[in-house]
Order: sequence, then structure tokens, then C-alpha cells
Amino acid sequence: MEKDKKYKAPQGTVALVILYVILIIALWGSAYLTMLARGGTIG
Amino acid sequence: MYASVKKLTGWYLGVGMVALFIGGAMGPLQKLEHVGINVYPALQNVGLNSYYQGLTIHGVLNALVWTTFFIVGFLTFATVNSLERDLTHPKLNWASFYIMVIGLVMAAVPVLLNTATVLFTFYPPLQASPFYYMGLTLVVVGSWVGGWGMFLTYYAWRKENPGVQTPFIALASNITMAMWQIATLGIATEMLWLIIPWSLGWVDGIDPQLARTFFWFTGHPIVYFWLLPAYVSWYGMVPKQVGGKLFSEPLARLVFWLFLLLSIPVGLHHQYLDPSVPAGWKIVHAVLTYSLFIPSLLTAFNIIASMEIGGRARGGTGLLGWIRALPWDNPSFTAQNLAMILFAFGGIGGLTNASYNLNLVIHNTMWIPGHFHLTVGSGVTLTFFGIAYWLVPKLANKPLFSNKVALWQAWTWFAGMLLMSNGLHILGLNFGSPRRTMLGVAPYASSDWQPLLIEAALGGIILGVSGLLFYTNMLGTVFSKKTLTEEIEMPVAEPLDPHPAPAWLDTWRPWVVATVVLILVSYGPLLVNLISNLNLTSPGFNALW
Repeated sequence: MEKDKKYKAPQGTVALVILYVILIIALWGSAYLTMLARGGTIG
Repeated sequence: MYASVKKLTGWYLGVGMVALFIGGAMGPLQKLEHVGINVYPALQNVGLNSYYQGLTIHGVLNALVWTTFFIVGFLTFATVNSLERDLTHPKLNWASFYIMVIGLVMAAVPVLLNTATVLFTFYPPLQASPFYYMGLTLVVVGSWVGGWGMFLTYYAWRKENPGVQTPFIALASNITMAMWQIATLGIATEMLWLIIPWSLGWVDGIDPQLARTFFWFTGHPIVYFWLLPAYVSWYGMVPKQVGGKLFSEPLARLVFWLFLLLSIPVGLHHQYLDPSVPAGWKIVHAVLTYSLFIPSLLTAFNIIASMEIGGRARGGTGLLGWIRALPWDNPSFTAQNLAMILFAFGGIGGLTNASYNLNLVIHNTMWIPGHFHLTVGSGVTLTFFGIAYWLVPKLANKPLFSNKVALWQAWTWFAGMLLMSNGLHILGLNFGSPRRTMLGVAPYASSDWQPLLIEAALGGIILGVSGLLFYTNMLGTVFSKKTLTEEIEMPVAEPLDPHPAPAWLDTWRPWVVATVVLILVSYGPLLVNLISNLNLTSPGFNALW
């Protein structure tokens, strides 16, 4: 545990949450672009 | 310990699991129909008349019955064990169970007789047998009574322990039940005022718009009624199961209060397409819907951090090496952790489909069941399976039949759900494939849909196998001749910081008052408007399938 002191703050968790936020942006963005490619909500 | 509540919980779980077995069995049939394998004609001999009757059974028994029975049983058990105090009025809690069972039978009989094929949302003007509506109403009333039994026990504990902070699990369980009591006022009003008199023929017509608004008053918070018991386990129990501690207990308490505050005034995001709801109110509810992202992300952070503490305590090192050190050989943990991962994707889909313009595109498509199966079908149900892997052995006083089968069950559910939900999401977004539809006979079905429908069907079959593994384990446990050599304790996570949370996080009044005010502000003017323009004009449509 001594050498792992720098991880006392949950840095792994912070990394995973950042990854999750990136995933949200990527998947939401992808869905939005798909919607636009289909002609949006027009017609 | 607390023998009365053990027996009661066992019955709640047992009835819930029987319901899930029957309802779950319908799932793979639907997916097979979508790829052109229509087994419904062959099943008419056993009383299954149509795809839509099967879909109604699937929705009602899985989404309404399995969840409600498991939740009332689990939260009652959790409250008693968390407070370390028996129920003050066990007869009241047993009355809750009996009322729910009577309601279940009343609702199930017309569904099985094909006189209530109106799906689990029962939107008017689709009209079912009045017994269906009265039965579902009794299930809700029974769950209220179960909540009252919990509140009275909590109240007695409070009197006996002045100044002591409420244990987290008990507080979170009671907040969940309090939210449910408020949220179900919508569906109770819909049933008692509009639907039941209409289905009995006392009035000629119904106002579908007002009925839908009352339905969604309850219909979105019901998602949190399903989800918060999973959170009770993720926050209050999983950290202990992984050998860690709850990273921030005050934050966990705040999250539950925020869900009480924000779960209810968001229902109009299910009604973006409803013409009689002014756009302004849709915007208000959209903003409030997105505010639910705050407690959700706080939850993600707090629970992962708690597991990180556990993983590191078990020798995990590095930025992410602690994940491998988690107890993946424990099926209760594994099922719940996989549920969390699937739910994380469900959360992304939820954020996406809560946005107005995307909702216009995907609302009536396969995207929605894809999302729904990642949330209630995975985040909730797979978590409940994980809980059952320690709770059922505890209740039965018998060891789990097979750890290995349980682990296979969890992983196959994960794999099956990934396949199915991926196929359904893409079908909805890219192709607009409609939901709640016999796609196997739809003349407009495109050959482009086929690979995704096959993917979804494969996922559905894997989920069916996974379900059988679960029931094998449950039956094997309950009917085992072995008995436990050592009693299983309910896992209770300790907080990382042993200091009590601030007093305002253990105080009900301001949160309940704020909840009521927010509901009045966000729903009041719309409901006044809809009620003052009441149109009881729509006749019922029944016997369609």
C-alpha cells in the first residue's frame, strides 16, 4: 500500500468518470449526427 | 434474527420471481417473431393468443410485478436489519403482501384470458377488463401499506434513539418508499377517477391526454422506484462485499434526497409528442430531467471510488489495476458490477433520448426497449439477482446451490443484454423500426433490419438461457438439503469517514416540503389547464387482438 500512496485520492475513479463523460459526448454526438444524416426531424 | 421479516421477505421475493419467470419467458418469443419465427399460433392451445398478449404479460409481470414485489420485500428487510429493530406492526406488512397478491391475481387473470391486452402502459383509449385496472391499483395500494409499515418502524426507532443518525440503508430505503408514495398519486388518480369508472361503463368516454399525464406523473419516478433499491445495495452493501468502505456517506445521503426532490417533476419528457402539453412545460420538465444527471454522476463517482478502496485494500495497484483485484469470484458482486456497467450505457441512452429533437426521432422506435432493458432489465434486474445470491441463501438458511452457475448467469446476462440492446438501439436510431410491433409480419420491414434483428434475437435467447440458470440456482438453493453452518449477515458498508453526516442530511421536513412545492410548480398549472378543459369523449377500444 505504501507505494500506492499517490492513489489515496481515488485517481482510478476520476479516470473512469472522465472516460465515462467522454463516452457520453461521443455516443450522444454520434446519435445526433445519425439523426442529422437521416434528415433531422424535418419531413 | 427478525424471523417475521425473513418469512415475509421470502414470500415477496418468491412471488416476484414466479412473475419474472412467466413474464421473462415471453421475451425470447418476441425476439423470435421479429426474425420471422412466429410461435404464437402454436401456443394458442395454452392460451397465448397473440404477440400483443405476450407483450402485455412481459411488461406487466416484469416491469410492474417482479420489481414491486422484490422492492417492497427487500426494502422492508433492509430497513429492519439496518435499524436492528423488528417491525412495529408486522400484521400491517403482511396485509401489504396479501393486498398485493390479491391485486396481482385480479390483474393477471384478465391478462391471461386476453381481456386486458393493453400493454403495461395501458394507454386509453385501449380498454381492458376493469379487473385488470383494479388489480394493478391494489398492487400499488399494497405497496403503500408496506411503506407505512416501514415508516412506523422507522418512527419507533427514532423515538427510541433520539439524536442518533439514521443508518444509511434504513434512511435510503425509507426515502425510496416516501418518493413512491408521492409519485403514485398520479396513477392512483388516473385509475380511480378516469379509467376504472370508464372501464366499468359508468361514464361513456375518457380523456386520453389527461390520463397519459397522470400516468407519466408516476411513470418516470417508477424508474427511480426500481433503481433506488439497487442504489441502496450499490452504496450500502457492495462496498462491504468488495472489502472497501463507502467513500462518502454524506454524498450518498444527499443523492437520495435529490432523487426524492427531482424524480417526480420530470414526467413530461415522456410526452414531448403530446399536442395538448404546451412547449413551455416540456422545456421545464426537460431541464429538470437533465438535473437528474447530477445525482446520477455523483453516484457513479461515489460507488466506483468505494470499489477502488476495496480493490486497493485487496492488493490492487496502479491507476486501474485495483479493478482486477475485486472479488470477481463472488457472484453477488459480479452480477451487481456488470449491472452497473450496463446501466452506465443505459444512462447515456437516457440522456440522449431526453433531448427534444432526438426524442422526436426515436420515441416510438426500438431504441426505447433497448434503453429500457439496459436500465430496468439490467441495472435493476441484474442487481436484484446479485442481491438474491446472498439474500435467498440467508432467508432459506441454505448455501447457494452453485457459485459457478451464478457467475455464468451474470456473465451471460451481460453478454445477452449487450447484444440485444445494441441491436435495438441501432434499429431505432438508424432505421426508425417501430417498437411494440409484430415486425415479423410488417409489410414495411426492410431487409436492412435483418442483421440487427438477428443480433437482438440472439441476445434474447442468451438472456432466456441466463434466466434459466438463475432459476436453477434459486430452486437448487431453496430445495437443498444442506443448511448453513454460519449465518449470512446482511452486508453493511462502513463509511470511510466515521464522523456523522451533517444533520440536514438526516432531516425529512425541508426535503419533503421542497419536493411537494416543486411538483406543484411543475405540474400544477398544466393539470389545472387539462382538468378545466376535460374531454371525456373517447370511447374504449378493446378486443383488438
